[in-house]
Amino acid sequence: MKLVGLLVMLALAVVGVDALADLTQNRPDAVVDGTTTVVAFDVGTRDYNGTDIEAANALWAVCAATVSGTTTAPQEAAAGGFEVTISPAIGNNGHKRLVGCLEDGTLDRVQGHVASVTSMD
Amino acid sequence: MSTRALRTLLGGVTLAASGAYTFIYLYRWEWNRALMSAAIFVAAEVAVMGSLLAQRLKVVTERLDKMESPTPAQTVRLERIRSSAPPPRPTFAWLARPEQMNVFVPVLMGAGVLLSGIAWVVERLARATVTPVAERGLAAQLDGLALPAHGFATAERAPLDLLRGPVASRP
Repeated sequence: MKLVGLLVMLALAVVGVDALADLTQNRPDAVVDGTTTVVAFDVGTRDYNGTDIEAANALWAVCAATVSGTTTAPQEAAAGGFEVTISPAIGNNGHKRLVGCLEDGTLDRVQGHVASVTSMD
Repeated sequence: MSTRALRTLLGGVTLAASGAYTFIYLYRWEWNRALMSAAIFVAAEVAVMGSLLAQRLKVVTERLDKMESPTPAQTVRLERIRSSAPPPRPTFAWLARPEQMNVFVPVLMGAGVLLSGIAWVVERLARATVTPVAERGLAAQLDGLALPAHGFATAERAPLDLLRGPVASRP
């Protein structure tokens, strides 16, 4: 009985580690020329020594390194927040890395909130 | 709810939540949050382990105290032995009474006189024996510095005459 329990635990551990590896895997995405991705995000600051656009620029300067391609500087969007354009478009792995960086505690006193990530042909 | 149950519940919830969120943040690629969550998990684990160990130590200590405590029969016997024990006697009874402290003075005076007598005898014996022996030894050691019995200048020339006197004294 104890052996069965041990085997079940071992199997669960293997499955869990494999699932976690799949979920956190990182690999290059397929590049499709002529496509773009628009990322809309906002920043929240607390006692930050600067304006929101400065905070957005600082955050983007750090997180732009998680994706490949050409990126623009954050521009204030009409609906509020900021937008950046990445070309060519990022894939699923790039999407995870970018959103994770923007919404993580990457910068002190600056918190990013991703509103949307839209890829276009 | 007892404190122990509350502590266990709090530790368990903290462990579960921080452990789960570590993996959730890893999935979201939020590394800073994952690190912080893992640090909270480790801290909660240490706290829970410390609490469990303290609890076990308390149980072991209580068990040891119970083992070392005397049985009721032993307690009764111990009480009887202690109650029937004779009162302790002072080792120097004459010192126990302050009015007899003057005994010290004659004792110290007698000991002083006795020691002075012994020292006087030792000094006399040393003076009578050591000085003559030392003088005889010194005289024997000074033999090497004695002048030659026949003087430095002799009629017969010896090989060492050149070293014993000036050259001008030669005949």
